[in-house]
Amino acid sequence: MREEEFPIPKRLEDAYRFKPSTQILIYIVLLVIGALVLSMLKLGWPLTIYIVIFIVYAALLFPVVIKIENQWKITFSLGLYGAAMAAIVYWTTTLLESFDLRSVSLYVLFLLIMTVELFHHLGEDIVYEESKKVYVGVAVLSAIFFTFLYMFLLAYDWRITIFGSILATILFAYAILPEKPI
Amino acid sequence: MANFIWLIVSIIAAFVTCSFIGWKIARRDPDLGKVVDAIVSHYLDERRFHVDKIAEITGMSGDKVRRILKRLEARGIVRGKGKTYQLVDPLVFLTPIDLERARRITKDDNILYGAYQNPYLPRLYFLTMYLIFAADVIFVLLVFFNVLPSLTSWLENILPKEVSVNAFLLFLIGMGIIFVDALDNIIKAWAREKYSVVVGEKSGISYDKSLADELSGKIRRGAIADVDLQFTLLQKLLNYFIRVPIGDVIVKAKGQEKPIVFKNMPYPRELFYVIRSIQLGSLGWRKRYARTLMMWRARAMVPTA
Repeated sequence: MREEEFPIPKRLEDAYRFKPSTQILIYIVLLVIGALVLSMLKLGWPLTIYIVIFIVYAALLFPVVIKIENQWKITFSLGLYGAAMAAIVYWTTTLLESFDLRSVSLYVLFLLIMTVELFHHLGEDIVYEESKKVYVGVAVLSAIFFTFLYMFLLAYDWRITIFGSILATILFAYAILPEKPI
Repeated sequence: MANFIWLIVSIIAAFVTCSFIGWKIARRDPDLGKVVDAIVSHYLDERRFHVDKIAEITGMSGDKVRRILKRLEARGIVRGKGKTYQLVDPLVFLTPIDLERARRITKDDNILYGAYQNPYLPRLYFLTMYLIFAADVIFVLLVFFNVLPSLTSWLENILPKEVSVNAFLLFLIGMGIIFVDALDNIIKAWAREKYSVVVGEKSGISYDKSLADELSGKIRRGAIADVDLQFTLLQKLLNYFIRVPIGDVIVKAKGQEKPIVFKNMPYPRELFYVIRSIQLGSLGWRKRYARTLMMWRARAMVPTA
């Protein structure tokens, strides 16, 4: 093999992936299969819950199947993020059965985790940049996480309250720190 | 019906708003393109350059160039030292500390490729961490659907009186996700310590043999007899879906009976090319594709429309 025969595509990953049209086709087929499975489930839930599940499924599937890298992909990906978060917030509010401060803290913690982790999943091209802004964001989110977890754990022994909040916050901060793709 | 309309309207509104933000974020930055072009055309092969020099070439202000270089540095595309920078080879994915270590050990060689083996594939047992999350989800479902009433009442007993069980179940799912994500970070960091492969222009291939190793495995440039690229069916299938494509690169060294296999290496075709080119002693292809490679490395910052 001579070195002139080393072909480098514009995007190195292209040599390993399906063609963009095939990726889109697979995504659509998997969405149809998902919708079919949901339509066959007989759990007696209202239609809105099935819609929420379908939107979240579509959002989780998108970055796994679609590997195209362009402005349209990022746009659609973030659009799906917004749609999935709106669906999750709606679903969470339907589950609200107590306005006790500790219960509200748990709902807020769940929404906080979903907001960050779903963004991690759908905004993967944006999240791994290590910058001062990102670290400040991680610090602010961790502070919010600590506050709400502390409020929930206040009902328990002070050792559980303090050490539980600190340990869980460290875990949270470590999980959401920007990570290198390789 | 009102709930249904509310849900649909909020989903559409959030989709449109976030799409608009995404479109803005992913917009092409012409100034960044200019800086990348200036670096690739004048400062390949890790030659150092000054901020002012790039400002002079591009006709942009020093502050603007500095801001762009900082962004490129955050992405690992250039390395900065004071007001001077140097281009990091686009196929080097090492952390700054490991890159320094590689430079030190290869006596400041021009590092053409540096990466870590995929942490999961050689050790599938790491995937068992997902079982923890699966157990978490099963527990939540059992309580939510009240499959085992004793389990539900046990949970109600340990929670403070006013706390909603559903809220706690949601919290459990959230913590399960966080736990798995943190564990994934730990595994990746550990794999970084152990399995790195570095290819230098003159030093050849250096690789870690054990956890405490300092790139003691070596195949000199002149000792490379042959190099081969292989994909297993699993790797081929995974490459369609995982973020970083992987494959095996097999190197036969002169005087050694057994070939050395670098398993599950990121961008294996490119590693193959790099090894082949140092074996041939010619890096012409790399120079020819320097701009393509650098633009690819900066891809999230310079999206191709």
